[in-house]
Amino acid sequence: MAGIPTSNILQPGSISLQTQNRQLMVDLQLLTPQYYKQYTEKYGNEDFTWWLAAHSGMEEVKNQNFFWFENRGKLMPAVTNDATVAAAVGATVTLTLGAEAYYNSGTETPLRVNETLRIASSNIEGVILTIDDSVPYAFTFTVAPKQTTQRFASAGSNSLLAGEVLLFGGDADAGEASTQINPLIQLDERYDNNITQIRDGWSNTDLAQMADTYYEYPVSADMAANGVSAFTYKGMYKTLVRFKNNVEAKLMRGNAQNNTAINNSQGTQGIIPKVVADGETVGYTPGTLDIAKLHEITRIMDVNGCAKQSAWLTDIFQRQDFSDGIFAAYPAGAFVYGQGEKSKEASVAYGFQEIFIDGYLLSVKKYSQFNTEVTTGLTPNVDYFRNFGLIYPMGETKDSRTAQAYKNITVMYQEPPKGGTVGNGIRVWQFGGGSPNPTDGTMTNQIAMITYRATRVCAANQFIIVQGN
Amino acid sequence: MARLKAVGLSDANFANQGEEIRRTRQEEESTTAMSEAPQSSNIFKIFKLTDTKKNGKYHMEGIDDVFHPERKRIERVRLLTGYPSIWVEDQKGLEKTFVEKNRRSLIFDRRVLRIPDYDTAALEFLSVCNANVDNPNKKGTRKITFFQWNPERQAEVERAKRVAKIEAIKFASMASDDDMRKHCNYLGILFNDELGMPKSMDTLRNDYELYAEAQPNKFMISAGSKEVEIAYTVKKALLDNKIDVSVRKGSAYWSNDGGFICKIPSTAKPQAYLVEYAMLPQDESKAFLEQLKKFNY
Repeated sequence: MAGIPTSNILQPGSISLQTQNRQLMVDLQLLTPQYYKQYTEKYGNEDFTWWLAAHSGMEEVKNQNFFWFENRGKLMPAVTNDATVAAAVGATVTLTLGAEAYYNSGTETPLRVNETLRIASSNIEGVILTIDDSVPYAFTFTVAPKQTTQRFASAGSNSLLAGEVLLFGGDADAGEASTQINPLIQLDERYDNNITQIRDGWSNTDLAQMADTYYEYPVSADMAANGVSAFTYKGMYKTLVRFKNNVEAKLMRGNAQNNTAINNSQGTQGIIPKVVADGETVGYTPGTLDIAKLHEITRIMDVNGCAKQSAWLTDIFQRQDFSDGIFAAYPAGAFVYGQGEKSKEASVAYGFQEIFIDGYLLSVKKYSQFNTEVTTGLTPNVDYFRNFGLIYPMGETKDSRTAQAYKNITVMYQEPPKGGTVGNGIRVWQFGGGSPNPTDGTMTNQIAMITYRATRVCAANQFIIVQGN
Repeated sequence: MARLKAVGLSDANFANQGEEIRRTRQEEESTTAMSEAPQSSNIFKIFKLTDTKKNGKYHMEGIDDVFHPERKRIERVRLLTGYPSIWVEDQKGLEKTFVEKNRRSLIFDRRVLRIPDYDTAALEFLSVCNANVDNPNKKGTRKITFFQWNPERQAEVERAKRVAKIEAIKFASMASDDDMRKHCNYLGILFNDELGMPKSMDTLRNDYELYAEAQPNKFMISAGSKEVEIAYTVKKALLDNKIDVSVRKGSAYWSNDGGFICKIPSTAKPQAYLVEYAMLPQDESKAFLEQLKKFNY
């Protein structure tokens, strides 16, 4: 699908120089008074991680690496049958365990003698009699039907078909003076992520600072007393906003780094790469995001234990696929809102539009940063985030090791050295001979900013990416 | 007179004998029908996502705009449960509610999708789908792609790799000491060990074979090539000061008579550029090569 035309937006919007100098301002004709009134804030931004940090807070970690534990699978076990096996009436069958049920290099599985099994398609019950665990990744086990008049077979078949799901039923019908059954050990999975360093800077020369530029950016009296001119303040302000956007982009769509030829940073896995890897992805054809598709999505949410209140961030194209009909058909209705980012106030502040379907409140919001056209003014032929949406549950999950409750998404940070000077873990400092804090003889005023951040995405299986072709 | 209960016959319940026979007959009838039913053996076709890091499921929408191989134009396909054709052109007249309720998604679970061979509609959809990397008629770019699992193709690829490795190791073990030294020079295999001592021929050959095993394709591309010979000769000529690249930066001269060889671009390394220069078809390059050959390295 074609993108949004952007030929009316001038490129580039900024350039890189070692320091801002007077010549640059002349080149851009910013000194000419008739232009400056047109130089306004034209392109808006809607940051998700900053909104989340504001309403839900951030969590400080003391080390660059942090980790948490999640249950590896569902509480109730089930396995599959690897190959079709003929099943006679009342006869014991020998089955090969499906590939997904192995652990520890194929030497451990959930199978245990005396476990009751129920066939998913026919609900016929059987019991495991013996297990042959001599070959890794190729365990076989014998199962006898509990009724002599039944075959241990799939529905409508004389055989137990390949891929048939066998539900575990515990040590049922254990008999008199029964013996102990082996326990089932619930497995945990450790997940890691790293805090990464994100920085930017602003620098201008003495002449650039002193020039009368006709800027009317408001500079407070105390900043002016520190030598901050309107021009410096404007440059710093623009850099800060861009820095904020870059932090947002890194935490949302950025990924880890392992190319040591660049530097030794490990980077951080952002929310979307994490969900792409470990979450569910639902494909759709643009123009067909209808009620049937929403039902498919809520079914997936149900299976994965998704929170009843979820945010759905969409790009502009996907947002337009939500017809007014869908919003009208499923109004938010009566719903008990939560606290923090789940509060009605936070929802209103962020501009969510809500629908209530199949017991799930979906707070839909256009996320402008998905569309390259909106953020940069360029139109890619293929844009990864065109017709893209992210459903994130506003829920909590317990760390399976410590039982500590974690929100599905938390913004993590390390406190910068000397502490944050703006708050929220961002350190901003000035240096150079032309700065209020002169550090050398070169007449430049340099401003640097850095933050140490990451996100923790817990229970990524509950997240859904809704991605158009 | 003894009662039935007293002689242990009460449980026989002669009154229900007809019902018991009927039940047994029905069970046998059903069992016979099931036993004699033709066996249905399903063959599954396996499809896999190209993204090997995808752990969660991918629910692929059964709609796409694809190239129609016979009508030679882009048409929409839509996979519907209970309808044989996937082409929307052939689905005209279907009720809107039927279409809405029967749209199908195909689910890749941990990258894998299994489709039985009788599900011809799904298989046709997958074959014409733009996300299928094996589809010769695919159009546009898809963010999530898949391929049909083909163990024979994979076996061929793996075998080809193994054969290439064997051939490279064979070449490395059979090469003469002289050829090996020249090729080692070209490949950048060090002639000294980590303590700076010259490697013995056996040690050098071991490293040579290790290189062949680790990078068989790169090894075989240059094995026995003219470029290897020239690279060795140029390096020797530079080491023996027969070519001078330092007297004037950016130029190469013969040391004996000061004859000009060529200019060397500032971005190029002299040795690599001289090798490249010697292989050019022009007369100056041929003369340079002839002169190099006279050194008999």
